[in-house]
Amino acid sequence: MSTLEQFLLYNLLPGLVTGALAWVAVLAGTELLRIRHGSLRFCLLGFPLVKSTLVVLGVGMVLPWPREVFGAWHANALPLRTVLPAYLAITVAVLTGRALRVRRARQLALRDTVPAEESSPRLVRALDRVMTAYESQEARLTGVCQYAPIPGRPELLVTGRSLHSPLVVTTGQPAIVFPERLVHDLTDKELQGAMAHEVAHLCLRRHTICSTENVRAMVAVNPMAALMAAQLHREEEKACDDMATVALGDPQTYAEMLLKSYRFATRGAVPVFETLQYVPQLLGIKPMLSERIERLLDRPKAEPSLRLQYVAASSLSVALWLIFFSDLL
Amino acid sequence: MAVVWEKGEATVQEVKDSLESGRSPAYTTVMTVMSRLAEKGILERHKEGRAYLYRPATAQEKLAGSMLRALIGRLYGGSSAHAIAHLIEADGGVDDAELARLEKLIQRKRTRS
Repeated sequence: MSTLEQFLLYNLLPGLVTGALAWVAVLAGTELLRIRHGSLRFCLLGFPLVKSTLVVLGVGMVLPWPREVFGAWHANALPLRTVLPAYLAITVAVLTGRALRVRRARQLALRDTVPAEESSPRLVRALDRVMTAYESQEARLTGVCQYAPIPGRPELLVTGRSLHSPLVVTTGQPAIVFPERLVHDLTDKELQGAMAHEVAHLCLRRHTICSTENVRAMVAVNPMAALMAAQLHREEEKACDDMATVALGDPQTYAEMLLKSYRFATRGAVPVFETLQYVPQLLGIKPMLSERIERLLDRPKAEPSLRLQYVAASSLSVALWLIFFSDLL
Repeated sequence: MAVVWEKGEATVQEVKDSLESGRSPAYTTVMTVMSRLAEKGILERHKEGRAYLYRPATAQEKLAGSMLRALIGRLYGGSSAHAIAHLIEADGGVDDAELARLEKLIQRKRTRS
């Protein structure tokens, strides 16, 4: 058996299996224990990625038991000293590529934009109101996600080019780029909702190490990261929804804004990837729009307290460590 | 290209006729596109009477593969892994019926509150 075959069969495959198991365990645990806090969910979802990466590197078994099964599988794995140099080389290449892409992405995002002050006073007013709401509701926002205000007001830009949805630029001076046509589709209150969502993205991406972008960058070194990035993307959107509804105080209007924005994004879309877009359904993943709107409207009146959620998250972490890492102790 | 692949070979008029079921492009538009595809080496053509007869110079799978690679190159910096990750994340599959259901859900909630 060649080294590559040995790596695929005894490092990568167990890595994917353990990652999938840990992923299911985390999702089940967070649902059972009703852990809703965005940052806690982010941290817990990083766990399957860490476990999976370690097994790919030849450290640890899929599960500590039954030892006869997983121990034998692990015994054939390439050891850390063999895998690590190649792994580090690929990681450096991936991170360098990502840094270059981030710079390029900023240039592309800011192309053909004009300051909103010149072209869209409604949008500027919406951002002003959102910034004031975020500053005055810091305590409530912290209860939803690890909130820390962004330093200063983000640059607000409007573009006439065909942009499917607003986007945020986090590198350098934070900026929000808004499609001009969408401004006309939304009411003032809905614009505030959209702004609150984008500002929430800026807050989260500045303060969450385990961000979707960082995880997505790891896809080349661990395919499990694709699944993790998809889940984190959903979690990030939900956390932003939670923060935005706190700032807006009107979940129905916010839900309407989501619906209108979706219609805007898909209006006149060329169905090049129509078949491929059903991939989430094939994987049994509910459309994100439906999930987001339903949870906004069907929110239970009494959420577990933040302290209780911290206790639940700590207990879940300990349980996960015992289940997946006790062979290393 | 789909028409030419299906027929094996076709004239501009035949391609235009095949496209009539949807939006009907002008004869000159179809001719221009097919001439450009021939110049790019994607179609081959030879004169048959007064008209040119076109046939594919590239297999469907090969062209689809190179177009997909070009698309991934432009959209994802050449990273197939990122393209796959994006497809998994894509919020596809929300059809008109589902959008109408969500709209009703919002209205019902608004009426209640």
